[in-house]
Amino acid sequence: MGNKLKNDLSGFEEVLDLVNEKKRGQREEKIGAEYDIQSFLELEKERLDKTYSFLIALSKVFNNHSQIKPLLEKSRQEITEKESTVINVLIRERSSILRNLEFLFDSFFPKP
Amino acid sequence: MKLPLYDELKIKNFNVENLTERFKKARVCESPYYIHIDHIEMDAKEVIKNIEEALKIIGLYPGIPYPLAIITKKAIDYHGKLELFSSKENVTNYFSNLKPKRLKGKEIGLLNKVDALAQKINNLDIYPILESFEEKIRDQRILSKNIAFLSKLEHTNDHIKNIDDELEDE
Repeated sequence: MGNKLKNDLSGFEEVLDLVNEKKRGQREEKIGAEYDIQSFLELEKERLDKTYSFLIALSKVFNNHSQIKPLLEKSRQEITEKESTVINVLIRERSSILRNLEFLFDSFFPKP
Repeated sequence: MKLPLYDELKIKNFNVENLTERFKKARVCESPYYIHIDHIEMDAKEVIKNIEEALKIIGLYPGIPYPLAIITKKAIDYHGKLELFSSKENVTNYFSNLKPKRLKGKEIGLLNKVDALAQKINNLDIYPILESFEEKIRDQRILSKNIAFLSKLEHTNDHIKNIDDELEDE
């Protein structure tokens, strides 16, 4: 840029983005450094607030409204019932599966 | 009152009684600390066990709200609640990035609030809360396994009934 044009535009450098980028970066860094402790402390306050609420909510929910134990008990009962149903189908008298398995077994060991 | 940034806690005697005293005095867990343990002859696992025990005695849970980092170059097979690092440079950046400087009015106000909250958390009985939480997680895992097993069982039951019916027809 020519010197004459520079002189004409003096006072409007910032508006026209003609300010040295390095200088601007340094200034922004300085402004950022002024607020880093404040922003850190604000984040910390929020984090601790959430931690406290989380711990309080945990203790309240688990002590007063836990549904895990009855659900676990119910699932165990259902497993026992289902297992006995499967076994009953297999071992009932004259079960076709058993008869076929018996036939298969006997075919490998012919009676003398 | 100081900013919650990492600070070294120098300890020479790692007996449980001494550790309890030092932790109480330094208000561990109300601010982040790191401890070097390589300078003593005691077994590293024993040291960590003593630290955990001392924290439990005074009702502090490592990491809540602030971490207590152990710095050691030894390779230790440890899967507990404490954080182990090989050097001071490796500790969590979040609590070591800032440079402490003279605080302004608004920052002092915020720091007071942060300090009060940290104390409030430390006054909670954290161990029973988190132990019950861990127990519930274990139960939840068993429950989801049971549900998956039940669905398989249902499928097997149908399959066997189908085979039985088909063989009956033949």
